[in-house]
Amino acid sequence: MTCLVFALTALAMLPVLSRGEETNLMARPMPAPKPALKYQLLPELAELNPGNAAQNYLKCFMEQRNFFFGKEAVADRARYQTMPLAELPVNKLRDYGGYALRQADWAARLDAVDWQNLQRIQHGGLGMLQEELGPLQVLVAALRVRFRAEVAERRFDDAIRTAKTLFALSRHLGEHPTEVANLVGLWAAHVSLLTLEEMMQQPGCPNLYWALTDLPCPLVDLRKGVQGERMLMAAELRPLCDAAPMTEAELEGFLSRLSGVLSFAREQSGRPPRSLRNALQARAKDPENVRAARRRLVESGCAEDRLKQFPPLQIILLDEKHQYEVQRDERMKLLNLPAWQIESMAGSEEHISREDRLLADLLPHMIKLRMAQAQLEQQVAVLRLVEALRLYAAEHEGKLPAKLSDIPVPLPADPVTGKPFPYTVDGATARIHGSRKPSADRAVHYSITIRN
Amino acid sequence: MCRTLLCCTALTVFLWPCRADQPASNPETLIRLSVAPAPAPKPALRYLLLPDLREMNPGNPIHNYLKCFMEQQKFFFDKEAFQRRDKLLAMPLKELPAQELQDYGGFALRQADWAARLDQPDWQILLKMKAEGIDVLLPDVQQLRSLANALKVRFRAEVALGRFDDAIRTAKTMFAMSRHLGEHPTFIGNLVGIAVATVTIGPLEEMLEQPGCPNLYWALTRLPSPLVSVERGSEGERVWIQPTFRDLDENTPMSAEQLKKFIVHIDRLLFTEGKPKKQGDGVQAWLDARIKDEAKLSAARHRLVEAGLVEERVQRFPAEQVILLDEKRECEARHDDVMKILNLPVWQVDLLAAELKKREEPALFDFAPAITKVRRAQARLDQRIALLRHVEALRLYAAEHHGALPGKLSEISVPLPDDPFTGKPFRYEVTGNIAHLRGSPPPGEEKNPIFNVHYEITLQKAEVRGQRSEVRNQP
Repeated sequence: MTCLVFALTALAMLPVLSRGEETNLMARPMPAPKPALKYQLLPELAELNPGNAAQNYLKCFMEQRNFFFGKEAVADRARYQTMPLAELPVNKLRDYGGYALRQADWAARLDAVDWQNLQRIQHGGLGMLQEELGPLQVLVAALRVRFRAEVAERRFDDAIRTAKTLFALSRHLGEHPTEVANLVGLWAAHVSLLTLEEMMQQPGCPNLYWALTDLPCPLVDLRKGVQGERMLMAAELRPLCDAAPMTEAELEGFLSRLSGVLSFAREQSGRPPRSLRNALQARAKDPENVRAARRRLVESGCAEDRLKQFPPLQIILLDEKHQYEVQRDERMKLLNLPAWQIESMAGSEEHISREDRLLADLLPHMIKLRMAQAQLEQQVAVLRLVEALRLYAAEHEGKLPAKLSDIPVPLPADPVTGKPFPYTVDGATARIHGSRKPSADRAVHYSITIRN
Repeated sequence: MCRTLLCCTALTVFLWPCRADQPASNPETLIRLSVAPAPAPKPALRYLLLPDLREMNPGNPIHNYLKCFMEQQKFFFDKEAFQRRDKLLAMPLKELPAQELQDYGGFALRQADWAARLDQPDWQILLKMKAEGIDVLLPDVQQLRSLANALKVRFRAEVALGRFDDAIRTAKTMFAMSRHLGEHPTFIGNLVGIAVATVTIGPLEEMLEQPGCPNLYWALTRLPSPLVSVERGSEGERVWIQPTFRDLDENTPMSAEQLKKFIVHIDRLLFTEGKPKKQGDGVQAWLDARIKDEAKLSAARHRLVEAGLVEERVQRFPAEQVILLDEKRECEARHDDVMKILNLPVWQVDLLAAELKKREEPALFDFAPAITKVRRAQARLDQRIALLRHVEALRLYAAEHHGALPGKLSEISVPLPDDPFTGKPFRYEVTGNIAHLRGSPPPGEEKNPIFNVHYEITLQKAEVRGQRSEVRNQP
């Protein structure tokens, strides 16, 4: 169930990614560096060493409890993440985190990532703990403070080293076989981009257009996490046997656990409680319901003779499991589609009445997940545009292009809509608009003022 | 140096707990056990003290030990929890609130059980050691001590409740963890492994005293010897040193600037805060004293050529480079002289190490590890296990001889191990229903209670819940 708590907490984190307000950036013209990839935002192969990044991230916390978890340190870190850059006590923050964060730099530059949880996820069910994720969020926060301090001091090489560490960590979290870890990865990349935004406004900051263009897309993968959720649910439902009749005690054991999981899921999502037992018993007592359920199971490939030996409750539960699997795959199959396609295709399934299906509360939140990923891509794309404007301004005496097509470098479309970003210019200020959902209109506004 | 500090700290863990209220008479650690006769279980290996292959899963235990600490700050490090654990570790078994401690540590310690049953330990440190040399820190190793202490509390609670299967599961976890630390490529890691195994012995002794405790003679006999290897640590000691000499060139003459940089680097390693305490202590002073002496310089060149460096090249090296290279050569030679005796029985290590010490002249780089201390720590653990095998052999004998103790050890039918410190049988005597088993100390430690372990074993006729006590008497 702990996995569920984490998943719900992480989903609650998603609004953090959707800044609705206008973002004002003050940028300076800056040509592309030479060579073009002098600056990169992920560790290059030349920097990598053999080893397991995941294990080395955990080492950051060893013998460092005061730095990471001490009351005062936590309060300071919260302030350092939000206070204006100009007010940061940079002298105090030089070498912030010391050995612990240098260990994170080391970890982020290892060539393999193995979270050592595959086997447990395959067999553990929803009760699986992902205990490293909470501390890793603290690590991200600490790295972000160091990043901000480096930006404030205009130590761009150091800042880029930290950005690389943060983005590598985000991508490593994308390799974790749980959705919740992938979401933490998205969040980590998002907060790193916020600091990168601050860096791009500093005088002398190198142009990162090609560095941003060089980032993989998607920056944080969701594939492993989504597959991991499949495994977790499969493990949870494994005791429900479809090969032989179950005894009353076996059914009771299964129901008790499932009931707990579902009640918890509903409670966490703020939905009213519902008695699983009552709902199931009502269905199991209705012969028509049982017949229909059995028929669906036969249609799905179960042997009819065998099903006739099963108690009605087992039939109803197996049917619910089958329906769950169908609906789950209906959602999961959309994962790789562009955001603007997924919304139209998934519109109906996200609105399935949760009361109809007993396991509906455990279905994956595919649209929310995919949109969170698309919004991160949008954030990267907007920053590419900002850097393209700085490139253009450097070549045109500090002037902004009248339209985006005037810019000679390739520009990304809005990953949420699949269309070019709406762009307007007013003197030295350009405005870029993005959408939070394909169907929504212009919810993200960037205003970029060029200072010469 | 951090590493030396860590090593010293690691060695201090071998001070076993003692009860100070006992009168001091003999320089020994007296462990009183009250045990009942018990035959060997059937099948003989029904109980084991390390995870069986059938229990194992693929994975890296080290990574999984670290996970034990995630989101568990309160349990491991809160002042209150810490103090409570200290109390629980020290209080007599019968006073332990065992019912409250049934699932002590919860998920964190169950995670340790899982970790201990994974098959591929990888500390992920080798490359860092190569890159950072003796500057590398080992916080993960240090933190595992907290895990061992928490496991020990659970172990004691299981023993107090007579849940022997659970207690043996915990013993397996702790011994497996100690062996995983034996795979750490530093002596520090290996020493912490020995400490963890030593911590496990206490509750194991308490368990042997409980009514109905199965006989663990064969389980103890099946334990590998040495239980915690120091082999990987000895190999790692070579790796530590490499980066120290990375900038000392043995192919081309070094510039004054390169030499200065290297000397500053060595000063930082050898002296506190990189500065010699008094004039004449620093690396430069050491070099100056030797450069002035043409005969010494020439002898140094000669030794380098003998060691395989090209003579023409050596002639072109500045004097400081020659002396430094000669010291490096000497350091490596001394290092190997110490390391080559590591695998010998401990009494031979003692003899040879003493001889080596006698013939040594002062050297600039004295990086040779304290191998005698390391081997003695290892042997103390093995001695303790060997003594426990004897205790269990006595229980076996008593079960077959109507509760009687053997008059001498040779009457016992099962094989008995020799004392690792001497290679000879342990000292044994019987008075009534009390047997005395004594281990021998290494040379020079005759008055050190730590090295003079004495088991006083009282054989119960009927099964009576025993009370283990340990007394270390100062001379």
